[in-house]
This record gives sequence, C-alpha cells and structure tokens, in this order.
Amino acid sequence: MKTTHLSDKKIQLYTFDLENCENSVIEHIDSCDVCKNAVDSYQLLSKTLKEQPKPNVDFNLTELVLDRLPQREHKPLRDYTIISALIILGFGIIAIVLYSFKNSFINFVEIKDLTSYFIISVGVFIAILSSLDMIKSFNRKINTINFS
Amino acid sequence: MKQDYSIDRILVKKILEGNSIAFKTIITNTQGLVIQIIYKMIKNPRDREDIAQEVYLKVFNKLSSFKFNSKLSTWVGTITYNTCLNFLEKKKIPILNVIDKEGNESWNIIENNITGSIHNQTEDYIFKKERAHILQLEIEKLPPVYKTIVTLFHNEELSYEEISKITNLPEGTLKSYLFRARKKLRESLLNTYKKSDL
Repeated sequence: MKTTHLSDKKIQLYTFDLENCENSVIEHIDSCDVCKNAVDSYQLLSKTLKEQPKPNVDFNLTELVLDRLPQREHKPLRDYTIISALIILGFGIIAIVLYSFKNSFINFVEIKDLTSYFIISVGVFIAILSSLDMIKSFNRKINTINFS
Repeated sequence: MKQDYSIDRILVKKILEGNSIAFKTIITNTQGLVIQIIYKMIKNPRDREDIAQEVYLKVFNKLSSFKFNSKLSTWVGTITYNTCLNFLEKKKIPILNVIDKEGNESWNIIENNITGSIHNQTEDYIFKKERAHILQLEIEKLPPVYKTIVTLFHNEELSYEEISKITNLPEGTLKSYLFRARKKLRESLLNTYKKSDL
C-alpha cells in the first residue's frame, strides 16, 4: 500500500503536461485514488476555466480606433520597369551615336576598340544622370528657400 | 522553424499601402485576445477603453517594423501586454503580488503535498453554475500577470510558446506561474466551499 502521495506539481504535470510526465507518476496515479481525485479536481478546474464567459465590451473598439487613425498616404510600390528600360535605351543611343561617328572620335581621342566605346558611353551617361540630379537638387533647395 | 504567415503578410502589405479596411480586419481578428489581456490586467473600465485604443494605435504605427517572427495576433498580444504593464508600473500597481491592508503579500504559495481528505470533498461540493461564478471571483483576486496567463492558457487556449512570446517570460517561469495560479484557484475554491459548509 502506498503511504505517500504525489506533490501538487507532479499532479498538475500529469493533468496539463502529460508528455513531460515521468512514467512513475503515471503509474502512481493509476493506482492511487487520492492522487486520482486530485487530478480530477484539476480537470474540473480546467473545464470551468474554459467555460468562463468572454468579457463584455461596452464600446465599439473598431469604430473608436479607426476614427483616431492617422491617414497613411497611399504609396504604391515603385515600378522599376520604365526606369530600367530608359537606362538600357540611353546606353543604346549613346553607343549608336559613338559608333556612327567613330571616325571623328578616333581622330579626336584616338580610341580603337569596343571597350573604349563602352567606357566612354558609360561615362557620358553617368555625367548626364549627375547633371539631372544636380538640377533636381538645385530646384528643391530653391523651393525650400521660397517657402521659408 | 520559420512559419508561413501569408495572410498576415497580405494584410500588413495592404495596410502599409493605405488600406484601412485591412486594419479593420486586424482589429476584428485580434480584439478578442486584446480585450482578454486588458480586462485581466486593468480594473478600471475607463482605463480599459483608453488602453485598447492605445494598443491599436501602437500596432498601426509600428506595423512597418513587424518582422513576421510570430503570428500577427501574438505580436498584437505582446504590444497589449506591454502597454498594460507600463500602465500598471506608472500607477505603481503590483503585477505579481497582491498587497493586503497591512502591507503584507497575500500571495503566498504553500508547497504542501496534497492530502486526500480535501479532494474527496471537492466534487461533492462543487456545482457547475456556482463553481463558475466563484471561480470568476477567485480569478479576479489573482495578481494581474497570473490572471492573464491563466486566461491565455485555459480560456484562449494559446500554447506555452505563444504565451511566452506575449509575456516575454521564459517557458519555465511561465509554467511555474501557471502551477501556482491553478493551485491557488483550487485552494480558494475548496476553502470557499468548506467555509460555506460550516
């Protein structure tokens, strides 16, 4: 006959976390009415807790929150297709122009192979982009000064 | 393991693009959990309403920083729990201990082994309706953190992992708190019935 009973911790482990429960605990509960009663009372507690009513909310949360929300600007994700196409087109145009006038260029800068054409094309294109960026930045600063 | 939160991703993307209907969906999907946490942590009805609004405004403003490391509802739960904790700390309300009138902690857990005599009486005394009502009263007496954990585990049926993420408590500590809370609830229930029987 068993004279000692399981601790509360072990009883709860058996009731709520059986996977992590030792075999000896399971065996004990199977053969001990006192501990089995304790398990039953915890199961009853758990069942009653589950049946507890959800809180009654006396305000319309969705409405209250939506009224207070700051307006977020609609920002569609940037589509880079057009920009990429323009860049490729730019390279193409510059390369064609340089190739068409290669004789004049060869005389002028003494370039002979395709790599040189390519380097010059890229250089010219970057120069164009930087100039556009400078103009844009200049306009922005002017606008800021006008506003302030 | 990294989980696929595709619905959450779609909702968040829509909100970030300015779709307020998607945010309404988030409120609808998560307000049950938010309300449970707030009602267990905060007593004053007026404060509850303010905190509920504050939570969703925080969710809206922080949404772009959500990294999908958990379910969106768990993340909203974490914000709710932390907002309540901050509120209680500001008001100097104890979150783990209940202080009685003499200034003593009344949340003492007695680590006794279970004796048979009490358990044999348990089921004889407890009737369903009364039991639910008394339990509700006893839950209200628990410290806020215990109350919340018990509700999230037993009522909302969240896993240890989810509750751990919401409360930022290690799973071991969480289990220990749950053990204590259940033991306290069971003892309170038994004591109530024993007293009324006398």
